[in-house]
Amino acid sequence: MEGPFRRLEAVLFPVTTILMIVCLYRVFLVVPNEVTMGVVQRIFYFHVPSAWVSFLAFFVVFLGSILFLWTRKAFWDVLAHAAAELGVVFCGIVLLTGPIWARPVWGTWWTWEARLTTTLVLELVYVAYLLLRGQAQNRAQEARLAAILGIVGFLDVPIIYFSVKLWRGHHPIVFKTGGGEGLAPVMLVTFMLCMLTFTLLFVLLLIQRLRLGMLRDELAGLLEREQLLEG
Amino acid sequence: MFLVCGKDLRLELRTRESLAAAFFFAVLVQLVFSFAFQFQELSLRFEDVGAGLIWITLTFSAILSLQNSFLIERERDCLQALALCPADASAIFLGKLAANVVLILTVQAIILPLSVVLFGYHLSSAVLPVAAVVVVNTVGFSALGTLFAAVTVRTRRSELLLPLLLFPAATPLVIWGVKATRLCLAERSLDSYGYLLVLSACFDAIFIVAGILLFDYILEE
Repeated sequence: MEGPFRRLEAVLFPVTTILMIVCLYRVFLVVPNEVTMGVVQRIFYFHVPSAWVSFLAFFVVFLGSILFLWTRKAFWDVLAHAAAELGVVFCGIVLLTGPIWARPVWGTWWTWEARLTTTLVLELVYVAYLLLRGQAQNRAQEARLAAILGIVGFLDVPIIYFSVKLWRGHHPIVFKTGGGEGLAPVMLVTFMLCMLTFTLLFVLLLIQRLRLGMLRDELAGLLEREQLLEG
Repeated sequence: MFLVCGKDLRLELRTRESLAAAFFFAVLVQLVFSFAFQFQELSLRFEDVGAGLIWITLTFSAILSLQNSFLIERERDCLQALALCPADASAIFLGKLAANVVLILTVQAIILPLSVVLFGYHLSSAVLPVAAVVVVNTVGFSALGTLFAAVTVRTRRSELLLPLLLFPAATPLVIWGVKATRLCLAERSLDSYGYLLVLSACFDAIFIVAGILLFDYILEE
């Protein structure tokens, strides 16, 4: 497993770095100011990709959890753990950048609106997931219990979104989906580029975290064997 | 399934530990609530905030019962024994769930009339609808709670983890429960909140099925 990951990483790292620089250049120097929202609208080039990546990450947690319970291969568990950590980080970025935008545009840092609330609850669910991992008594238990929570938590996500939506109003659609009318081509290109870059960044970090996790398991195994030999 | 449920209920009947704790905790919550909202001074109508009171009390006191339902199994490795018994894991889950629902509803049955006395609102005309809402949502809360209590019980700091897992995951139930209860208290017709009951019932079904499917993995060790 180690070889292909390392090669992929060797390719991804320079590509992501260059793309990230291009993104920053376009976001700050190429794209014009949005007419009504002004300069602060530029935060959306990072806000939306982060949101997308965090949802992707939580989906990977879900998949990893199912595959772990099915196959019992430690790899899937390490993958779910890695994705959960990244999901929490990117979800945190979403929760940080959102209020920065909302303050000047909506006039308030926070409102209890469907997507905001769902994102917050989502962050809480996966922080609890990481806490659960930290409190498990041994590695096997940790993997098993976390997998259960990874599945139940993800099943809950659409229900939470639906319930909060029923409770409170609507999110502003800043980037129109489908057709992209209302979004200048130069903005659309930059936006898509940012989406791509963040996705690659996610994959890159995921691979690194995955390799770290597997090395850590390997180390724990070696230490255990050494203890057995000594004792 | 009935054996597990019966065993838990018998144990509770003999010790009354969990019921007493949950009951007094619920009273305390109501006390804090009345201080926090100062009904008389602010001349709030109970119908406006009462649904919130009912659900804060319910969720917080239910956590205690759920916590206890697996803590009693941790002593002397009873959980191991449960897992070894030649029954399906799903039967153990359903038994535990049934016992929890009965216990939580018992506490509610005492607490709700008490809140009528303490806050002087009119429940009598809305008692059946409110009871229906409470029952439907308690089943879902217990299903998630039983699942998560079993997940957390063998970790360190299980008392801390259960609320952290359960509260965010149970958000939909709290939202629907509060909304339906408020409509009941306002004596609206069934049409206005019936869909909320259906939604909660769907939630119940999803997580009971999830529990049945996943409980196997929790018990193995």
